[in-house]
Amino acid sequence: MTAVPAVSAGRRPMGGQQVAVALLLPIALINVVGFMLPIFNLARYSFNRATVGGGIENVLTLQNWTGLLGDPFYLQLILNSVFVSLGVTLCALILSYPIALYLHRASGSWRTFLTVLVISPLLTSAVVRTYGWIAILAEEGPVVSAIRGMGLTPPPLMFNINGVFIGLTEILMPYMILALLAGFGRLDPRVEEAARTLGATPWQSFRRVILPLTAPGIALGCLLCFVLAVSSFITPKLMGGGRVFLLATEIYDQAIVTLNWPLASTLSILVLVIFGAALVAYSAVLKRLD
Amino acid sequence: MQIHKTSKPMGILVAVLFLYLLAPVILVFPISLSGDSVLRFPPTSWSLRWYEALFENRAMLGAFWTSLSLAAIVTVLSLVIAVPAAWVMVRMEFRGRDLLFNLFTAPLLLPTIVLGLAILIVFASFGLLATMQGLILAHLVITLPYALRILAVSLATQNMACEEAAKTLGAKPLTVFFRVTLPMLTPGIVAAAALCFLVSFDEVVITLFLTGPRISTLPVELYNYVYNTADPLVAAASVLLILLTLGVILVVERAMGLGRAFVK
Amino acid sequence: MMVERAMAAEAALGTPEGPDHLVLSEVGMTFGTLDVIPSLSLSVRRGEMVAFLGPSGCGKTTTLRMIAGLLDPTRGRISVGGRDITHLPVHDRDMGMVFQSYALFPHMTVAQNVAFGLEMRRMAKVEIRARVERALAMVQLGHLAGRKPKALSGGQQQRVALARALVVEPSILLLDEPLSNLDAKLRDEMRVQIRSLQQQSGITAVFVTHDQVEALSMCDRIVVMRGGHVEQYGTPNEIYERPATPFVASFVGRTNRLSGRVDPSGRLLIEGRPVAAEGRLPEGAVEVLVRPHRMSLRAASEEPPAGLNSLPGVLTGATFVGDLIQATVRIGAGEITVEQLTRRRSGLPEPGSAVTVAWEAGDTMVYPEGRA
Repeated sequence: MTAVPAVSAGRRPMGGQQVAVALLLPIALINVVGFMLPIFNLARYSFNRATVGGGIENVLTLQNWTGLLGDPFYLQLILNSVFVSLGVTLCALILSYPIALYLHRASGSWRTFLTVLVISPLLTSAVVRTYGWIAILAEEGPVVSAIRGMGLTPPPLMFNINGVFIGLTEILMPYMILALLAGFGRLDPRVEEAARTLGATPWQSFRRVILPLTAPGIALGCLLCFVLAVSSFITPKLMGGGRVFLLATEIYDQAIVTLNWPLASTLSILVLVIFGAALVAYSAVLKRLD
Repeated sequence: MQIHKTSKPMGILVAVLFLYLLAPVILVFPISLSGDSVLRFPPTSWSLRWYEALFENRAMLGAFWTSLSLAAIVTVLSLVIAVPAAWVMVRMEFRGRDLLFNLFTAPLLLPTIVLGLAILIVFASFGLLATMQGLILAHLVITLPYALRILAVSLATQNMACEEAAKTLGAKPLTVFFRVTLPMLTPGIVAAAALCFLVSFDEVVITLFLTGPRISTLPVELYNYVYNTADPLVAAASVLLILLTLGVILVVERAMGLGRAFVK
Repeated sequence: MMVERAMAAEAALGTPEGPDHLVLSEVGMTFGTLDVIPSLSLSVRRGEMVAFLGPSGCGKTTTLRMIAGLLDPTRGRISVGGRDITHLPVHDRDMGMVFQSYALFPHMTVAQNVAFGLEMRRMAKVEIRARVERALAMVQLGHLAGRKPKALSGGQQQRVALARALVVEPSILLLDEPLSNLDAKLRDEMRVQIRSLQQQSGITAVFVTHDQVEALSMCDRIVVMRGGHVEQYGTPNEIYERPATPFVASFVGRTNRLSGRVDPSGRLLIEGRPVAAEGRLPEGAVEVLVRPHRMSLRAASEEPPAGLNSLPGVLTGATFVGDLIQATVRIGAGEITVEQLTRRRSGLPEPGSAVTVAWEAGDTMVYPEGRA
């Protein structure tokens, strides 16, 4: 009834402050050792020099950055990553939108069931799902057989960018659907009904009413999918057959195979920069939508 | 009569899209029962040979037990660390609380490939590579934010009056926590535990950086296997993984309802 | 109507005349820069039931929570039975509190809920069982002892909360809007039950409410609060019949406002006409308050009743509400409401006609202008 702050001001058992610090200490320690220290270290490494045989020379140098941005292979790699991620995001959006809209309009246990179906891939390991795609797109798989059955020559689907594209799109769809659903909250079915009673065709009411209202959800879903696509590693690695070079796979190869940690660190920081850029673009879009 | 009643073409379209979304998960079931020695669909014959092969694969079995104990330890530690932390975050008011909360959940925002590399470099100098301790610590970095978030939300939505009522009835702060706050938090704890378990059990990317010949987890072993070979063995393992996940979900469902645990 | 009946019942019971039990001296509460309660002093006698009555935001719940120990007062002192409890932790205060949301422990059965406070007092198991049984019998819930709170109706939950607070025999029973989540019929029943339980056990009780009927019908004395201040502290009768401020008059019961003036000779004039009132009158511009049902209405052509105040006006409308007719009358620039009991042949004048409004001198309440 009367407004009272949720936390009782002032009163605290003696030494409440020390208790609070003690209770937060473990999580803070893990955060420092497993998150903050590694990230600061990563940033520092990107300005160190790698020596032959996996060593690191502790000097301050821009060598990694200039080398990276001056190398046509890496420039191509960055562009590839960005374009593949944008393409996958767009495909995921187009394929997810009808599902999200359908889910939004469904009700009761049917809706719950479909929501569980959408979430269930998220709870399945990316390795498992990628493996599933390998099975589907394999030379002896159902897709290739079906295309052959129609008397056509199937395009190469596995161990190239096509397979990565198909698999990654599917793997990111659940995120897109959930983001869209979250953004659909303010889409009242009656608004659409109102548009229809005012004489709009289904297409017009979609174009003029539903699409603008769901734009914030679309923006959120695209941000999420783009960011996940840029940093995705398992699917490109397993489905690319060593022929698809993207930022994430290159980070892993440099770190584990070549043991060039400064270069891997530089690439990682670059991924974070791309994240930042995506975030800036997202806020700009949101501002324009308002 | 609703105008926007879903039309038939729309229904068919959605069904096709769902098929695309679920195809890789569904397909591993028939493939796991294949009698062929290579990955082929539909299989030319059926058998349980790949399940037998899986249970004879010592590397896989070892990795499975490593994963299981790792996930169990990580889950318990996550709860032990996150429950008190969430309590302080929600029930106490202090300057910088929001900042601290954001910092503690920040690892979720970082791509695992970056986090994996960053942890690899630091753990290498600590001698934590390819050790159980190293894996536990690395997994805690990503499970704690989930646990903290779920528990904080549960605590914040809990009826504070119950704790106050306990106090007025003479319960000391610790008694209030163990007799009232904690039991009322059970659904949140179950959800957090399930999520931590699944996240830890399924984690590949960060773990890939930290495992080696000495110690490996099931997802990493599966990754390595798929990277090198394409036969139905992994399908059999996948089916078992999916069933395990389903089991965990059922536990959560029994405790609090799936919708509330994951959709919200 | 309700108010009058409730008061009649109250007057018959009388007020306990015990010694002061709960004493608040110059208690103040500041949240950040906001002075929720500047300075508040009052005392509650042993065995008395006192209501904190006021609109939301008046500080009544804050005061209750300070008594309970759930809030730490910024200033001042609180004592119970002569013992200073201002900085005593909640769990050592020996209060019984009934919350607006009942705050039953959802993971415990009804019996476990009631037993909780006794367990905290480290009472023997046998003794606890006996007391829980008695407490549940007292609220007629013995048959539901094994149920979880979720399986109970709102009224039953309320009774469990009451039993849980009373079973520990606290020094003070605190009730925070305990009836606001019940429907009207149940609320009437619970009003009677809470009051009779309180009187049987002779416990000192503080009752927070924004409902005047609850305060008037259940409590020995009422603290009317507003903006963290005590506007008036008195028996229901005093509060209703002699409101200290226009705010009290309009918050407890309904009232008409008329502008008047007291000339230097002490005569009260409304619309230039002399009006009689009791007591000493403040000089200058005044507000005159009269309750609608204490006024009567007749056609201007009739002789104004002797010995009563009367003012001429114009009938602007009348609403039939069953027991009552509510008539609106324009007097000068203002408009007032007159309530009359309906009779079978009630002859209200036509709307638009000239009428006379009359009331007794004792029903005139006069306040200096601008004292809100």
